[in-house]
Amino acid sequence: MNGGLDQQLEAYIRQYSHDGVLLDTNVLLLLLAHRFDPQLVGCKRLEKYDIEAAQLLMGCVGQFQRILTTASILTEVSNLAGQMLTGSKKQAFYTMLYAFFSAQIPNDVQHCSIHGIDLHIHQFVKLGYTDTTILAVAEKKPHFLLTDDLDLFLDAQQHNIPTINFTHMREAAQLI
Amino acid sequence: MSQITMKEAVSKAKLHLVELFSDDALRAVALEEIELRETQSRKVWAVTLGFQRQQKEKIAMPRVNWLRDQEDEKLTGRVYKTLLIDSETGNFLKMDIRQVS
Repeated sequence: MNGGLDQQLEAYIRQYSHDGVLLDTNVLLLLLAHRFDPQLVGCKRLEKYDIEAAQLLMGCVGQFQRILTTASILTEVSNLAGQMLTGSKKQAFYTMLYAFFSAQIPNDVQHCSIHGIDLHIHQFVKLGYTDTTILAVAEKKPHFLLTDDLDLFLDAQQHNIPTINFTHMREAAQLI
Repeated sequence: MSQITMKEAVSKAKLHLVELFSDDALRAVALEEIELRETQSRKVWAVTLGFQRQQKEKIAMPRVNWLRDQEDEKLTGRVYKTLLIDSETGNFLKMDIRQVS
């Protein structure tokens, strides 16, 4: 990775490793799909990724104590996975994913609630519900956000949310 | 299955960007976003590149009476363009302005 981005990421890891990393839908789907079956990476909804990207992501996420998520991110992940998979593989993936929705979620996952947080109408109109909740949750605490959605990334930057564009990481790591 | 890889698409997009802006030395070119789009007839890699321009970016202003036939010109900071690359042939199809807030 290039010096600037590397230093920025290291600073975020130092500051937010205990708190966790908030992963956008695509990035979380990549992580879970790779964990479930690396052969899924590069197929269907994950066509823009390769194994090296998944490994880079795993290495980054591994620096944080937990993955932060929201109900709407998990819903999108579930829906996208449903479009990728069929039959027994789909059931097996959903069995793994169920843990994220159940009362006994894994220790390294934490739900962030949007209860009591005002959503900004201009963000909602521009980005839709899920991204608006991501921004609201990330801005409140704040949480470190990792995304490869350009609009979400730029909006997060505008609101001084600690964020990194995963596509920048891939390019800086010379994977693209 | 696409015939050119994502990496090849990005490489082609960067080459075409430099060629299209050959009269301007682009600075801080970076890959900002990539996706594989499916249209009715084909799949295309949509490669969004961000950069700083040396020259001013011309912005067409809405036509109102007192501004009729005038054109504003201002520095827009970082510019984002999406270049579409045919995933089968690797051909450059077009470049769009990537609107960001």
